[in-house]
Amino acid sequence: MLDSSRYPEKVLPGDLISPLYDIDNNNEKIVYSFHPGPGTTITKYKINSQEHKVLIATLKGFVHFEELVKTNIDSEGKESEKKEENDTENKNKLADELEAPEVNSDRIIKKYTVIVSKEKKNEMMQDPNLQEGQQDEVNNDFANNLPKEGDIVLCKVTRISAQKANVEILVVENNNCLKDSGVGTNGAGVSSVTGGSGAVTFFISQASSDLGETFKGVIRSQDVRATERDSVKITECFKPGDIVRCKVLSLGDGNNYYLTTAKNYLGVVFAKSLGGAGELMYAIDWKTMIAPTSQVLEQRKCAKPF
Amino acid sequence: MNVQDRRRLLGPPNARPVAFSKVLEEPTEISNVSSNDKALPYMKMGLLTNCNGSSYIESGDDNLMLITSVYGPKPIRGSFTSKAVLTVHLENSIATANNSDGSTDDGKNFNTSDDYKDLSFFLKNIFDSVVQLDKYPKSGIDIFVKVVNTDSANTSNIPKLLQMCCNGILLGLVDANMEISDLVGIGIISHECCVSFIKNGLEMCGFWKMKDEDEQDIEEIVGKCKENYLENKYLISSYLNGD
Repeated sequence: MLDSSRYPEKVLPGDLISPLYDIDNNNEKIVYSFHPGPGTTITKYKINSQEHKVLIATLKGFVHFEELVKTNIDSEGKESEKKEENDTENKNKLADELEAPEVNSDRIIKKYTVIVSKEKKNEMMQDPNLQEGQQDEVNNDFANNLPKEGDIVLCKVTRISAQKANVEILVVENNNCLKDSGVGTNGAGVSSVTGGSGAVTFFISQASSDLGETFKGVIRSQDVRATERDSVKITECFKPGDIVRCKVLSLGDGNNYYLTTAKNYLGVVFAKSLGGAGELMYAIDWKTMIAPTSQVLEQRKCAKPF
Repeated sequence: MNVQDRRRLLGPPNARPVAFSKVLEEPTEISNVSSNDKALPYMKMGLLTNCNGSSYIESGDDNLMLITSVYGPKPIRGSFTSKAVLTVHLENSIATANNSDGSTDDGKNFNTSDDYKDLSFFLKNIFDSVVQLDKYPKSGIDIFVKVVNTDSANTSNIPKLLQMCCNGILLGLVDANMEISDLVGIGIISHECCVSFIKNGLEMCGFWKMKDEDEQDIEEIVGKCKENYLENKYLISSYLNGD
């Protein structure tokens, strides 16, 4: 177990947290490897005219160490500071040695992600019964809630064509909205009218919807579902106004993120019948939704609700 | 009346505007703090609610007051950028402020907007090197600094203004939880020059000099500024730690 009292508890931006590698006080065979998480970054630091790579804080807050479950073995038994060159080798080995740690190895590497967050340790405790990604508490600490590859996002469909559906990204799942609603503006967000990057490019008259400043995304027809990808008809999958759960494929180009719904748990989560005039519908299978009172059936690519 | 305003629904003809009675308030006595050689600046974070982060700074020894607001990261249109685009706007919001006698002085005493553009650019360059821009792809971060109050004598003291702006932006960024690599700071020689430092003065990231005089020793200037920077940094970090 990592003795975190050896490292600073409370930091300001620029403060030193730890070296990239450290040896356990009691057992020299245990090597801790630290990885930068949110609120930290790697920088070079000169001690006695020798440069070392260290982790420094980029946010004001408390330091947390989260152990990565994968244990990595290094059989070379070199000095801990020199481990870095072996990193690529280790990665190759990692796949084979994930399950059973080798007994004849010299050192045990324990990997930790270092995070700086506003909350203290005890307040960060989360319900152990919940699985990963299911935590009901959204961590409000980070301004960096931008969509990145692999994130699940909730979007609103703004426009459909035969090849693609255009969407606006409302929010990244399990992430907060910024106070100024940088992502997922709900209409109440105040843009800095006197200038700035928003004002140069954003005109209310040119906005495609009432959402304000949002990141845009596109779901191409081949990314809608995993099977029969070339016979997808966008109109049978989405309608403007639907709220869709998507995964980010890539940052895309200047205008759009590229999104996919090719998973059971991805697709339309909320939709109204009759082009938005009707009532909220419920999914009855993966491609049909029903309006409960009017019994209207409509086609959508539905997300598995449970 | 506007041509397009025909048949506009107006209020009842007998309506009277609301009038409020005058608030009778005893003018609060501001005790003149005995002017020490150095009064500490007053700092406060998170005053504004509609931006992502904000700060308010009142310099101790003169009447310079600044409000900083940080917006973003928010999407920018146009071509793909893998890093955030940072903008800094320094504005003087008291150009038409009322004097105590009710007259306005139309910003006569204050620098032109061109000067402020230079200062904005200088500050932007400093913070470009400190904010972790690559963590915010496809987005823009907007920083607005408003000079709320200043003595006219202050406006000529650009190094001092820059130092306070830098502190204000720094606190705004910390309040916004924006990732920054260090507590950047500016050290000044009043009315002469200012140098911005990171890493406890090991690295410089900005240099501003009012007059160009050859015979001055740059190393001496930087040394003086560094001392001032360390003092200033101590103030900021003790404020952040005590907050």
